[in-house]
Amino acid sequence: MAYSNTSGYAASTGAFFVTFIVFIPLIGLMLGLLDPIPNPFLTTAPSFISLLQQTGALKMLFNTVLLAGSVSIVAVCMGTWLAYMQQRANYPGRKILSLLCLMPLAMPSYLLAATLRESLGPGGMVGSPFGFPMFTGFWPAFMVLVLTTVPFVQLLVNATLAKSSSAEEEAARTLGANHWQVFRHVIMPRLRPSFAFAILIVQLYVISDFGAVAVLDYQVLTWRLYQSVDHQQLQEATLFGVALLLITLPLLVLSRRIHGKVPRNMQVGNARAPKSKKLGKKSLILTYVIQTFVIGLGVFLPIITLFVWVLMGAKYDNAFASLSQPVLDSAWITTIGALFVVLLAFFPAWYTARNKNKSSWLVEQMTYLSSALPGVLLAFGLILVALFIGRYFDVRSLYPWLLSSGILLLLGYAMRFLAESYAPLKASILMLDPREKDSARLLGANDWQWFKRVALSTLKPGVLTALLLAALAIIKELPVTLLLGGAMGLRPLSFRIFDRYQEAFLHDAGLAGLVLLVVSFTMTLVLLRWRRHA
Amino acid sequence: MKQYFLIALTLFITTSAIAKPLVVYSGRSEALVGPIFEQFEQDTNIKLDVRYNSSPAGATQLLQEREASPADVVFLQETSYLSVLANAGLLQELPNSLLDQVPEQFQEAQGRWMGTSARARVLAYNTNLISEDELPQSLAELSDPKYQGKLGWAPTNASFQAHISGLRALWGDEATEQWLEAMIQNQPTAYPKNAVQVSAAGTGEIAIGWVNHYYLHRLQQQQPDLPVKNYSFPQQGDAGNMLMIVGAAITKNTDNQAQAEMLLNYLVSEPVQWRFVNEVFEYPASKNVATHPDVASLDSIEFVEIDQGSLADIGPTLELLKKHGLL
Repeated sequence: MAYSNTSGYAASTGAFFVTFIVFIPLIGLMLGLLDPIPNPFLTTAPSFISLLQQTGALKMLFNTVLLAGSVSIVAVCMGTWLAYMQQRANYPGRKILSLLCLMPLAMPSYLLAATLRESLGPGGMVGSPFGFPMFTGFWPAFMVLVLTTVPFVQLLVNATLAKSSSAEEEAARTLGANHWQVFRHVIMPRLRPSFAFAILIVQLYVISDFGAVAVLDYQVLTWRLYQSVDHQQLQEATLFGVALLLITLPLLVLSRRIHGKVPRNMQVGNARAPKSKKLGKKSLILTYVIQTFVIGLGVFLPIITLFVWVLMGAKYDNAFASLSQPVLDSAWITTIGALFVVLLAFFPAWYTARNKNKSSWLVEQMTYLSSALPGVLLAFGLILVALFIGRYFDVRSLYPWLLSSGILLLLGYAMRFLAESYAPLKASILMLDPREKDSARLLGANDWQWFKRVALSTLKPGVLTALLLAALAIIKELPVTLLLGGAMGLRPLSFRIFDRYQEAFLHDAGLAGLVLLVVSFTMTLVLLRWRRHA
Repeated sequence: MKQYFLIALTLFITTSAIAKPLVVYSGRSEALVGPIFEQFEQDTNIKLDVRYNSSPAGATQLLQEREASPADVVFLQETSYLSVLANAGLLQELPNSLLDQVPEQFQEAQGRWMGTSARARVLAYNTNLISEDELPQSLAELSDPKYQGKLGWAPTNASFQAHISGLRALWGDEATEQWLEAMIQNQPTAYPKNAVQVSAAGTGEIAIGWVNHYYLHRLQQQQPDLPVKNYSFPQQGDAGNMLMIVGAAITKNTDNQAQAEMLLNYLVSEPVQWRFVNEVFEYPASKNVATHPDVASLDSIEFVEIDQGSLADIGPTLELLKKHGLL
């Protein structure tokens, strides 16, 4: 079967082109290290060594690692338990509670952090009667990030559990083991690879998070990097960027290695649907406690708080700012951005689906690398590259043009969300049966007819999922939008919420937050539905 | 696929090239000035392209782009950064028709920027936690150990930094550094933004915040019973009573001179001044508009006299703050 036709050539060229894009921000960072950009307001340029001491970069590094480590352990335990309960147990409210537990997926971390800070902190509607202390720093950031990452783990483990037979579990139970013992001695060992993978994924997520740590002012690398860029301390920002890269890379390499070991199919003997068992009292209480925590703090309290903000604004006759521009800008960047991301992701997806060799392996790793890098870092790297191009080629107009043309923003989104679109695209391309193309040819159809009648219908679900995943990610996205979108005058909903929250215009932040949530909840529900049917 | 990419790219480039709106680099947040710009577009039919950023970031961008910058108008939170831009030769001298509309205090010595409104540096204190007579008589006294653990500040904020530059001009570098060291001994809570700091004073996270005056009034619009008051130092001409001017300027190589002047003119016009006073609770730059009744009048505060140009000496201030780990 011949794939080495023109489309194959285009796919491989495109794939390597996309792979190369990943290097752009990294090149920017390296140049920033070799040729530090001075702060225009300072007379002397400090050395990186002195900056290392002055800025407390090591402390930031420590904070980042501490947060990622602790969140990953707690979130993976909670998420695994929830997935296990969803798959293997039967208790009142299981279906609806399991679904609601996934809803924090639709919640941007800055919105979750802002609403919880205001409601749980001193003076808040929950914090005030209980006399809670300041809702900033490590513990609040820990809590918010656990809430955002538990659903990821639940989904991930759920997928593994759904594919595995429950024969061993039932054997254990026949021998008198309770739910907890089965979980501990049968499920856990079997899930170990997915478990390790989930821990790494959560750690990568926490390290790259910007919204929660910014709102809760926890001094970690991403938040300090953003502040440094905002205050034009680009040399410091470079330092934080390199530190971020240094902790992200090993985790990524490790996660890719483990990913290969996650079993695709774990059926032992005959596959059959696991029998749901009634839960013991302790397991039931534990399950309800975790679900109340995730749903109550991750979904209900934030939504109630947003409503309170809006109602308070109405009560005191505060003027509400028009939402037309934020909604338009969000629609614009989400549409163009998602199309661009999927378009770019198509090349590596096609290439790796059609080739199995060293270079396709490399293309896949690079795709995951780009999306594992924090958005703040990608955006900063792109800014640096634009700066250096303007400098080295002495074309001053190039820098402002690159910034305001939207190219950097689109590249930023593409890199950040490449992997998310890549996975469903590749899966659907793998389903294209090349023999069908031959049959179509035999029947006299040309390539275009084959594509239109056969390929398109096979690819459609994957493409739609990829588009929607990218759109959901972009509409929630904050740091890339702030750093690269602000420079071109874009002010989407995410910008509106963050800006108004920081300026303490809570009624405006609340209204924009509710609009964003309606959209992102809808998208999430559709995605979960598609996922179930897939 | 390649074709689509090219089409999208061309579309993007052409749309960004065709329209040539008036480009504004705004160091003021959209929350504060967005509605005013929208009104300008409606009133004049001139399309604006406002790039919001922090004041230092907006200023740096212009410093990097220089003549190639698309910016026509620069509207910054702090005149310190405007003076830096002026000294770098990037701003033009404004016509007298514009300058004459604001008091002399609101004009740069060489007329390269003009003030459009002003804020007072104050202490915002929680009235349940501390009474007025326990507050310091002067800013210098704020470093007294009796305020340990009660204070908040925002060292990354441009107004804070401009105030430190002002202190350096008034007290000298050495005295300012000693005072700063004593302040650090009091372990103030650092906030990334001033609005959050005033909220924190309201909830009792801190007893005293060191901020600009207008955040309180805006917050009280949303929470009328917020137990916070503003405080200016009673001593005549105390270094704590500093007036921070917000300013605008026109770039030297604007290709939109007439419209840029119209925008500056608009910013100091009575209706807009009224909005700065009644919506943002700032001090007006126009003599014809009165301060908001809830805001302490300019005459009631014993302001220190300071050369606005001296605030442009940003470098040593940043170095000082960095040296003490505040940035």
